[in-house]
Amino acid sequence: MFGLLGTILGTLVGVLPGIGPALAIALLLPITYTVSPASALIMFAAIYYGAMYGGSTTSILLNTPGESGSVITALEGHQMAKRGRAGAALATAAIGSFIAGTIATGILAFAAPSLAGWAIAVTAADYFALMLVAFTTVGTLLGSSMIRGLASLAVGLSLGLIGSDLQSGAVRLTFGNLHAIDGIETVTVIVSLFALGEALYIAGRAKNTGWSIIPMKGRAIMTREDLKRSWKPWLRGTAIGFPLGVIPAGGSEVPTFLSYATEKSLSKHKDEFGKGAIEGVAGPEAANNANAAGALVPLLALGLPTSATAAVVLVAFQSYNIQPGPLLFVTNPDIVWTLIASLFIGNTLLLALNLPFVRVWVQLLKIPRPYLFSGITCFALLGAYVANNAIFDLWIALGVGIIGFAFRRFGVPITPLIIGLILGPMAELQMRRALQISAGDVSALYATSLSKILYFVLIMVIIGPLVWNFKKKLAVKK
Amino acid sequence: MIKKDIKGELAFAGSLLILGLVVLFDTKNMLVPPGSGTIGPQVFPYLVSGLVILVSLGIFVEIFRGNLGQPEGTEFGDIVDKTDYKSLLLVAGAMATYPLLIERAGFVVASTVAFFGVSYAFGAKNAPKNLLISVIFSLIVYFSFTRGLNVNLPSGILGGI
Repeated sequence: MFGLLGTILGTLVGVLPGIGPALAIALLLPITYTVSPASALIMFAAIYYGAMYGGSTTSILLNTPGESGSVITALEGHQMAKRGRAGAALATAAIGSFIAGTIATGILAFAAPSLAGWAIAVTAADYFALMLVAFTTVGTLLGSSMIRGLASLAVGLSLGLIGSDLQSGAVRLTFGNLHAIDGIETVTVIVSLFALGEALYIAGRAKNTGWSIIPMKGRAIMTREDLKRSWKPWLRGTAIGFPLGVIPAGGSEVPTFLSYATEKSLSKHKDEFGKGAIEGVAGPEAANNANAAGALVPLLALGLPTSATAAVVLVAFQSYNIQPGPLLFVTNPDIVWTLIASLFIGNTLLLALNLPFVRVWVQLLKIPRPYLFSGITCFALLGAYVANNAIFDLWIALGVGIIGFAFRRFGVPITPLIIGLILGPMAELQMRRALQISAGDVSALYATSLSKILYFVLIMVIIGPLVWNFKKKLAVKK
Repeated sequence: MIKKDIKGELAFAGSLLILGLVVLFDTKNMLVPPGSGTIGPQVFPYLVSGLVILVSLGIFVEIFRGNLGQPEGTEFGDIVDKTDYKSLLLVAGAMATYPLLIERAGFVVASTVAFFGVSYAFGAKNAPKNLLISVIFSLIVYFSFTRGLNVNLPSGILGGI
């Protein structure tokens, strides 16, 4: 039942322009506070997938992708809509997402426990190294400027410091404010960063242009020809999207773009690309969903979020005192299976619900922009307040909103901040554990073979792009 | 245009530097409980402050090399070069009234005011209609959250309804 509600809410919120899945889950979190963990999980799963589908609806009909994963869908999907084939585009997106989601969730169900079993052998030093790798990949691969990504990460780490240190009781960066002792609510940060920051940014910097909605003719069904052309891209998209989702900081641009490029080069209808080729929607959409499911693997098995959306899910879990990680499968196996089951259910519900209901969602897009933003803002502020029923949180939210504005204005990616905020304390914990066991011997941090490999990867990630750029410059000079 | 951009970027990098220094100084003056061991609560913050400072210096370097940050594109229209301060401050102000009002005047009032302010800033100039929608929105949210979900929202001056 909650699954149904979650699907509806998720799609609803996902359709709204400017709200990606991360923000959608974060905004809808307050609704789940008073609900039992099992139902809440089902809702989360439904919202997760629902928001992604909503995003693709927007990108097809409006050419306004709601998040980076939908950018490629907008490319071909909107062209299809212009040619009157919106229904088929939506259908292929929905079915492709469903198939990808099902396959990916299936792999998740099998892979996660084995990964978790192996993960128990991982030491604190390895965890620390792993997190450092995650930091670096997120900091350097997202966005256009490595240094700015790192800046975002650094700010996130600093915010994560605020509050009392769990291991010693010392209080950091609170400046005497009692409210800050517990640290800053992660959800508040995420919501303010996305919603308030976006509102401020659009107010200050975007021209007041509206958008035109392509009316949807016909039903959301596919012809046999469409199906024939879609099914391989669906599978290929899944294959591309899933592994990339597992890796930290894949983001959704890379898998979707890769899928698009693959489909284009493999297609027998190359000339249609750019004018509405259905493979260009089928592949990337499947990749997008598989990517999202893939991100759940490190989240469940290691407790490591690899994207902003995964980070929100992590926080949601923690609010129920469920700590994802290798122990999860031992202590709370039923929760995990509930989640996986609900992912399947959510996925199916999505398909069943959305194909017929697309027109309804489209009505949402007709909400005038001013009310859209005020609604989002008020919801975001509400969410910030109810976390602790404290005004302090609201001021923090405003401050973070300003940071969100600044980041957008100066081209600094936002995801690293969130990752830094959440993983910072975790990384610190692992580092101190490792060093305490070795009584201060720093070499303990790279003693195990896994940590050596990880540090090697880390160095590669940093040096790689630099060497690449250097070589390019050399080539140009010649 | 270039000059303005650089000023903003410099301010940004400057704030980062200040952040790093703040973390550094706070960590130095931190009250460390005895018995925290060699790897106490100061190690990580020092590392973080170091990172922040390094990064801010890096951005300074980038600015002087001419690699300015690219403002984010959005789906709401093209980005203008000059910040529309009026709208920006209006929205920020509307948001700021929320914490000021929520416990003194109650949720419904705070939400209404904020909603009104933000919509106005975004172009909803028909004030009476805007106000009506703001009130209705806030009331719906209030009732669905307090009655439907048992969430605690301050009733403020409208208490007793």
